Amino acid sequence: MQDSLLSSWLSGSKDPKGVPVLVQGITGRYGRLHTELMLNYGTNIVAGVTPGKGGTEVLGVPVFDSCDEAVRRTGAATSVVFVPAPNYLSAVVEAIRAGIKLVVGITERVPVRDTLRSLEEARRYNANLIGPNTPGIIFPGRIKLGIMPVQPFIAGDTLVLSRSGTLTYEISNYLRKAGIGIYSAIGIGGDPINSTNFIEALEMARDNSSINNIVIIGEIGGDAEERVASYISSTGLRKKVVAYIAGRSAPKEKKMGHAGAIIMGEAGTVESKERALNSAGVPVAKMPWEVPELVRHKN
Amino acid sequence: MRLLEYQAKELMSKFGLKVPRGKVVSDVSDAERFARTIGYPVILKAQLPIGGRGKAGLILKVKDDTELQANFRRLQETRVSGYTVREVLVEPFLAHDRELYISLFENRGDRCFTLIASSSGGVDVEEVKDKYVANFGLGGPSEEVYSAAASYLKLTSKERERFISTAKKLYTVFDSSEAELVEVNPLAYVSNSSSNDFMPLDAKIILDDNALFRRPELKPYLPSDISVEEAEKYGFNFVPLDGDVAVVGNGAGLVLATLDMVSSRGLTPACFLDLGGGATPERVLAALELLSKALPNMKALFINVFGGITNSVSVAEGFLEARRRGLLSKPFFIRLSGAGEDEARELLRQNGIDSHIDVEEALDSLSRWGGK
Repeated sequence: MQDSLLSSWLSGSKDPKGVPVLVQGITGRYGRLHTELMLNYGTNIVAGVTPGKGGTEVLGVPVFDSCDEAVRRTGAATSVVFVPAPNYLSAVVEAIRAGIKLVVGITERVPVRDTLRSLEEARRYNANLIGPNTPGIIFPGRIKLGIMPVQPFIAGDTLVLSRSGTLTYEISNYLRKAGIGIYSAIGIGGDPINSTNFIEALEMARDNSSINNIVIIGEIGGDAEERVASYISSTGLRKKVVAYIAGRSAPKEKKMGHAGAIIMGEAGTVESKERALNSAGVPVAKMPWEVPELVRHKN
Repeated sequence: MRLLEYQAKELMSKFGLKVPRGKVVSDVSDAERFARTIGYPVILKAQLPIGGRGKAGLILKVKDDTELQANFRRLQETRVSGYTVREVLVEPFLAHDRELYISLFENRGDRCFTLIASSSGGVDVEEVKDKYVANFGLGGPSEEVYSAAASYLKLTSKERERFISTAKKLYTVFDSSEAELVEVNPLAYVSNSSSNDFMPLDAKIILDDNALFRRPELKPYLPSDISVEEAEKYGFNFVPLDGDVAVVGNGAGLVLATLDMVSSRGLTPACFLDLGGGATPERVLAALELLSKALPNMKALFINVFGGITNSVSVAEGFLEARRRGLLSKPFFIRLSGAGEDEARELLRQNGIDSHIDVEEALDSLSRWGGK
């Protein structure tokens, strides 16, 4: 299969800097605010889409009625989606069919069946889809596609893959204070089903010699971390991998904020994830501030 | 959202499944009246949204009025996992020859749906190796899946046809209500004068909360927990817990990690409250108001905010307003970091409140309060 846009960025074969970006839902409060913050970071936002608002402008960015028109007129290759949950599926499908190759779904509270449908569409068109319910993607100093604050992220050689937004900021900030920079931080999303998962992101980054460390930020629920462990055991990975998993003290069978964070029976506990990761040689921090020390520590 | 057993069975019966003729009651005399109508022995089943009710003694078979009264009272006095038993389902005891297990669920890891069927009904299916597993997509399972499952279970020919029809109906329930999980354990083959079919003796349904906006028919099943409802109104994620230190923060992952931090100091969280992104002073105030109402046992408050889209100054302003309104009578500990941290801390300091940038420092203060 041909390299996808995200894999070319993560493998280091293409620079994400300057890629033309489209914002879906740009005229909403949230969309407008983050368009401004992304522009301030240097993200090349070339178009916005809000049906019915075509012909207007937001912060100097032209707004179109459809993705199709926006892509034809501006050459946008990536989209960041801020539309409300009921419109998420149609927004993503529209972007992908218009030729967008990477869609970052910030939208929260998307029904799982809509996530699955949008993922089917992305596969059909060889597009990457991140999220939903993600803070987005940042390549520090190069591009920000999402809602993360920028201060915690300094450029470096560590890839951060996370199921949680604020924990990504918190842990990246500890890394920054310890002098460890970020190659890219990717929020895969806090939902039960992620359009791009840990393993796909690891696979894209595995041969990039500019990435030396990988930090997995997980949480209770599901078996994504266990799958990372078996992926590492079965394929090897010539990079330092460390993890932090939130929810050690969480009660069973209660959803802890994220739809994906719930322990069912014995499945999805921190202990089960920690055991699997440890056996794959991945140390797991008990507290967020222990991550930099684990990254520094040589095996 | 997890439905109670009787709600799950009611939903299943709407889709044409045969279910035991039960009645949910909250009063012992109603239970007695119904038991006499259907005839003893009957099963009393506490209606709580938790697993392992049998082991916890929440499902009881009673043979007469005397046993029913004693056990009904006992169930109503039971408290499990923070829940009290309000309702009890009374069902006839159904003799049956065969118990199966069947479930349909969202498979997170493989990003599809999965059907599991096993002839080991009534036990913990995770422990069972002997099971039929099939993955399928949004279109639903193929005919082959149903028939392979039936063959795997080695059913008799008359059971086979009934099983396939039952499994298809369960899929309709799963699909039409956008469930995360539909599980029947045990699924029993009941053959008597009134029935010759598979029936769910227990039933579990978890709905996708995010899909409820387009499933108005499921609204009646929504739980009526006032504090959780109120949290919903503001878009907070609120989970009441058993301890006494209220934990509030921005972002689900950070709040979850904060519960771990507080617990690591030997203290027990009273709740999980995620303010969400972009907290305004009004939202912070609303959150603190909610806590003062919903958590009468709260002894202290721990706030952990890492500002990004959320500005620390807004949090500080909401906090000061809450104090003016007398909502902060308990000790509180605040960590404010990220966007607006200096200004926010200065604002609090001018009002005589200490706060921290570093979460470990904030935890140390909390620990000193808790004496650990």
